[in-house]
Amino acid sequence: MIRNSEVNHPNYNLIQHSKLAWTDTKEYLSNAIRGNFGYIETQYGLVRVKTILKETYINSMGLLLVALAIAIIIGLYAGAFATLTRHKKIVLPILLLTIFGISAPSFFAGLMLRQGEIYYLRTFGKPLVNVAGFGWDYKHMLLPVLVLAARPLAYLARASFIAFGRIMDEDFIRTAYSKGLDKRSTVNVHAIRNIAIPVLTAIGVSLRFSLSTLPIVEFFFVWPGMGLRLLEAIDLRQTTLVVTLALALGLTFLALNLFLDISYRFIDPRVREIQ
Amino acid sequence: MKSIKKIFSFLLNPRFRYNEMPELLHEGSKQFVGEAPSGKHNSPGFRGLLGNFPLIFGGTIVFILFLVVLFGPLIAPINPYIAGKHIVPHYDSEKEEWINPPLSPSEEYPLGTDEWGNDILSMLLYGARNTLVACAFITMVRLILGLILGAYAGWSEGKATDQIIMGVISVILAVPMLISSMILIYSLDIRKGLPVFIIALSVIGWTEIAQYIRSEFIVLSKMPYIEGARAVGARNFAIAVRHVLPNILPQLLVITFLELGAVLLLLGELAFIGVFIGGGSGIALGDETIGIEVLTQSNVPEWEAMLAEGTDGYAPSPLLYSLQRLRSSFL
Repeated sequence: MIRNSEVNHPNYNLIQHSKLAWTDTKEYLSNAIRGNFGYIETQYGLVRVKTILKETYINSMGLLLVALAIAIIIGLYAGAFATLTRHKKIVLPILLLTIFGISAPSFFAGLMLRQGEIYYLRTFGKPLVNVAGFGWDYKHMLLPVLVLAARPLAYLARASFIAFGRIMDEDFIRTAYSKGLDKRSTVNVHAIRNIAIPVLTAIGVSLRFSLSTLPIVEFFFVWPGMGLRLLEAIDLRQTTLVVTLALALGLTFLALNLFLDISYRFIDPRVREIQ
Repeated sequence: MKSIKKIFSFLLNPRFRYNEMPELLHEGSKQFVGEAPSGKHNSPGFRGLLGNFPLIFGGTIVFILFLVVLFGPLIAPINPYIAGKHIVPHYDSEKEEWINPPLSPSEEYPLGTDEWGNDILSMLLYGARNTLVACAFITMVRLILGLILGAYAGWSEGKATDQIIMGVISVILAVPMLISSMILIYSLDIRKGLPVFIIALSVIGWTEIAQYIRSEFIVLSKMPYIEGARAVGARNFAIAVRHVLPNILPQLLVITFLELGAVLLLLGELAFIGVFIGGGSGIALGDETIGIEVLTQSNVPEWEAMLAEGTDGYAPSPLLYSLQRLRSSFL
């Protein structure tokens, strides 16, 4: 336990700090290129940062991928469904739900889901899902995935609703109908490729949403991923671990964005022509 | 009041001075200038405002919050800054029962107490200052930074300064905002309180505003009237302030209110993982034989910290839950 007399106050000498930062960064990078990310002290002795990174990265990215896949599939279908029916009684509730999904804070949603699970346990006597813990089955993954997918789902549904609505008013869709095509083949052949770019942009944005809520969700449901480990490491001042994990998160985000940017060129021929 | 209006329209509306300088114009061209908008004919007036229900509703909420920030501590029953004003677990010999906080609402404590025995009502009233003042300051600094840097980047599009600013923005955006702000707050020393939060959250959060302002500036700086202003001989800074800025002012207002909500949300998430204003001090439970559990406790009344403590246990005071609901609806 830290007592008040043992706490050392930080000094704000900027020159000294920037010199220290420069040498530390150089040393860290030169080690990291050789694959040596350093060690951290735990109660079980020295542990390699690399092994922690590997374990937590797989756990986090698995959760993130499942959540994003669910969000993309359900969100796009909901947006497309709302556009194609264009019935006020269907469109309005979907849009209201998306507003709720975007504006609800993730910890609040997690809290509500956990309370719901506790009430279920109290009334029926057996648990439906686990409120915390790690495991690759639906019992452990349902609640974190729901919380993690809520905001991307809502955002993607809105984006696909707007993009689809704009495309379905275009002239070439009317031409396709007048050719005698039915709704299904009109959408599949003529509309889908045109909404690819706004939808891919929306996927990039929702990736950032879900990456930023990842620490909260992992903290709340005690999922042993990067976010939880990162928060612990910041609390315990394990600098090398913090830097490595944050760097891994940032590089993942940048790589996925790069992948999305490249995929624009393959999907939309108009982008290729401009360049 | 009238003079304030005059100053504002002088600053924001370039057409305002037209009727003050008719002699500069050619006789024949006067008919194209027209009258300056006086405001009397365009605005619906005070009676029109009363019919606008959402405006009245939102205005009332903001007014009440404003009153709480100003006069809250005067009407609060207990000052939470004074130590020893909270309830400790004890045996009440009159009622013959253990009194163990959190207490449910009673006459003495209208909203009950939290886990540590502090009165929730007075903490709410005192905490409004900390939370809302932090929120307002963070938003203000973010807006100023984003406006200046975004405008500069958008004005010098494609040059070295633009690329440096965009590079900084993409570096800041690559790491989740929660993580980077937490690292910055801890490295600046969380025990310093409010200023550290304002610095950290505004240094990290200006990027999205700057991106938006930059894109608006790129679009607007190619407009014909900018070319006209340049032909008249206005300098770059004057063009940016007098001709481009008034055009993005309405969007800027919308961004301000969205940003206020986003800052409150981020403060809430930070509090949830144990980083709140007045945090950093801990209470150790147990001794070395049975293991020590360190609880972070806030010694400054603040809404977000109260929220975080409310989520800690499974069944704390039910009023903390309603507080959370209230707060999220306020967002």
